[in-house]
Amino acid sequence: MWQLNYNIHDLLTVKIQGNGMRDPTRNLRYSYFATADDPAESDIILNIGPFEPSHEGAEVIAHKYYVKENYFYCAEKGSGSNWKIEVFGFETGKTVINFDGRRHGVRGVVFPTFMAQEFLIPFIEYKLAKKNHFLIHGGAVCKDSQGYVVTGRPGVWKTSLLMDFVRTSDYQFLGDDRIILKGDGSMLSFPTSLFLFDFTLNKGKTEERNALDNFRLLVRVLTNKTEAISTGPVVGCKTIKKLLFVSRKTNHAVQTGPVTPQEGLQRLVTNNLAEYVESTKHSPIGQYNSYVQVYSLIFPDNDLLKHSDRMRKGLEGIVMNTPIQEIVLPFEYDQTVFNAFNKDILGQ
Amino acid sequence: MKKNYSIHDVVKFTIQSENIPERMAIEYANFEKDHINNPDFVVEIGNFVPSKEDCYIVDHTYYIKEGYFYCKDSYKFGKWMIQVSGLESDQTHIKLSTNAVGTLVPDMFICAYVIDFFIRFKFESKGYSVVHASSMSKGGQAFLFPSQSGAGKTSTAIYLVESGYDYLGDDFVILHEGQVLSYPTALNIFAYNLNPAIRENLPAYDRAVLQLKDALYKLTARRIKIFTKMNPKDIPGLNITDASTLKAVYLLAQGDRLEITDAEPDVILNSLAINQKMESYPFFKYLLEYSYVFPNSNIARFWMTCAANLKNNLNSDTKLHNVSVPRQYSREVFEEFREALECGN
Repeated sequence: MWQLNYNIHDLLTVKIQGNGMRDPTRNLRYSYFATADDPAESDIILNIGPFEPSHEGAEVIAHKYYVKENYFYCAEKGSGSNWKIEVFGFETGKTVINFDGRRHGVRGVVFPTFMAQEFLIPFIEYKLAKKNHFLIHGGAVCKDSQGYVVTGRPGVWKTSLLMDFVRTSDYQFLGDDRIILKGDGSMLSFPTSLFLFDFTLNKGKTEERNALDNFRLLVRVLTNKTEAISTGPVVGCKTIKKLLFVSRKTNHAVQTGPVTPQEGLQRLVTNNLAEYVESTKHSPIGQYNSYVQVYSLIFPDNDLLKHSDRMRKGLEGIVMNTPIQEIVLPFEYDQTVFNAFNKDILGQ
Repeated sequence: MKKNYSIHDVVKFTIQSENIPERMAIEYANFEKDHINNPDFVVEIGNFVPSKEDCYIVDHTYYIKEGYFYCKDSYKFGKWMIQVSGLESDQTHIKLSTNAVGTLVPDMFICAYVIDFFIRFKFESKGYSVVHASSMSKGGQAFLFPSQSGAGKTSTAIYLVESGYDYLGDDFVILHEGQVLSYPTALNIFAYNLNPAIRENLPAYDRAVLQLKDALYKLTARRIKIFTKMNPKDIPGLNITDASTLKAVYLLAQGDRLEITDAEPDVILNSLAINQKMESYPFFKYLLEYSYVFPNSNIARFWMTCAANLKNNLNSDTKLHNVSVPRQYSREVFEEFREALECGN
């Protein structure tokens, strides 16, 4: 049995416990928030390993979902993975998640608890929003208390863009997958899988990794050389200079365009939701929205349904008071893209 | 090969394919027409080259431009490629190609994932609601039985056939201004949901096939599940009626024993709305990705449109109930339910 404690900016405490599950890479995902403190009661506890569900007395929906007040359980087979998940405190109070699942293939062997750890994100997002902190899907960099937020759907060169900021202009890094926005226009870092960012930053020009890169990464993970981080992320940033909505197109030039605050707000909310929705079943995080919907069949007035309104209200001030812009990046990313970006968008 | 379909003269569509397999033909057999004008959508099945130029690319997977969507997707053993153009226009064109599994059980991939969605999408765009429910009618008055899969929609419908009720639909039906419009697609029969009424009327050969499919399901650790398709018209004594006035809604859920209580409109509307979304995978995801790129499009408001349609199409004087149905849905349980139904409880 192993145990890890995390403290997210003194806003939330998270405990991850492995029960009969060996995992040398267990600390890689949230290492930035690791702490030696062991609180008596964490806000979220994730138990990874075999468990017996306590779903007696639950309503059964579609033969596989079990719902009680503040409780959710299901066992599912996805494409290339399977999982059993039980959540106490699904809606209110402290949350305890029991998770037993595995992904097939190399990733499942090298990172046996990543799938479980990833499933924490929607719970962190929901709990932070109740504390007026808004975890959004996007990255950010900061210099002299002035930051750029780079948001967009996956696979649009967000990480490459952020890495070029760090490499060429001495910006500090806050996160490349998620960051925390606050109503006063400031932000807090939320770096995940820092070793991966660091590896990619030092390895090459873009976020793309070829087979050799992946092999080197694997060696590094297996030999435990994942601690050294050359780009120590900062805790936060006082103001957002610009909120950039990045997308990627099949053509060849960098384009910019306007985004209205309403469009921006709609996109931020959709961008978060789309991470919890999959077209077909692959991972538990992609099923989270379905789980909330199933829960809402039995408890139509539940607090989870108020989350998107909470996000909307909290983010509204930010999109209204921050310059926002759309950036369309080309199919291939290289140095000329960042140069054009630097000139046109940052005016440098 | 080309087949034309019209559903209540409201939604019309065409399927084009080198051949249309039996499992697919039977699905929409009751809507088939020799000729239709201006189909709302055309589905072309077969290999195609996508028009990916000038598209937004999301997650290395989704290609999106105005009115256009393309992706490759897969689930378990099935793989497909889909291109939709004219997504927001009156004439939507869908191109679709699948792997061998998709061709073998087209009802699971082509029908359930794509064509069924576009039928509902076009109805909703015209102000009609399509709900996941069975519905039966007697004397021009219809009862609606919405539920999640496996909570008794089909069983209730089949039992009511025996009691002389007319059939409107067993999986989906259409609601419009207080009326239920029929939606008689093929019944999905599997050994575990085999109603005694159907079992007794099934030829020996079909019964054997059903047992084989059940064995396959168990052998493959519940990975391969092949339904037997049956046109409701082929069930002895079943009479399909075209439309009927909605009298009452009985929302079915699994429970320990039969229990019928009154329900608030919001509870019913909420449940119907959630069900519509849950039955729309993978398009729930596809539309969401489109909505990110075009936040001001009708697509971005689609689920709000559906919720508004439901509110409009359900009359305020319709009686609403919650029903818990025991797992063993026997004839005795049904008789008790029918009594409550007929005395308007």
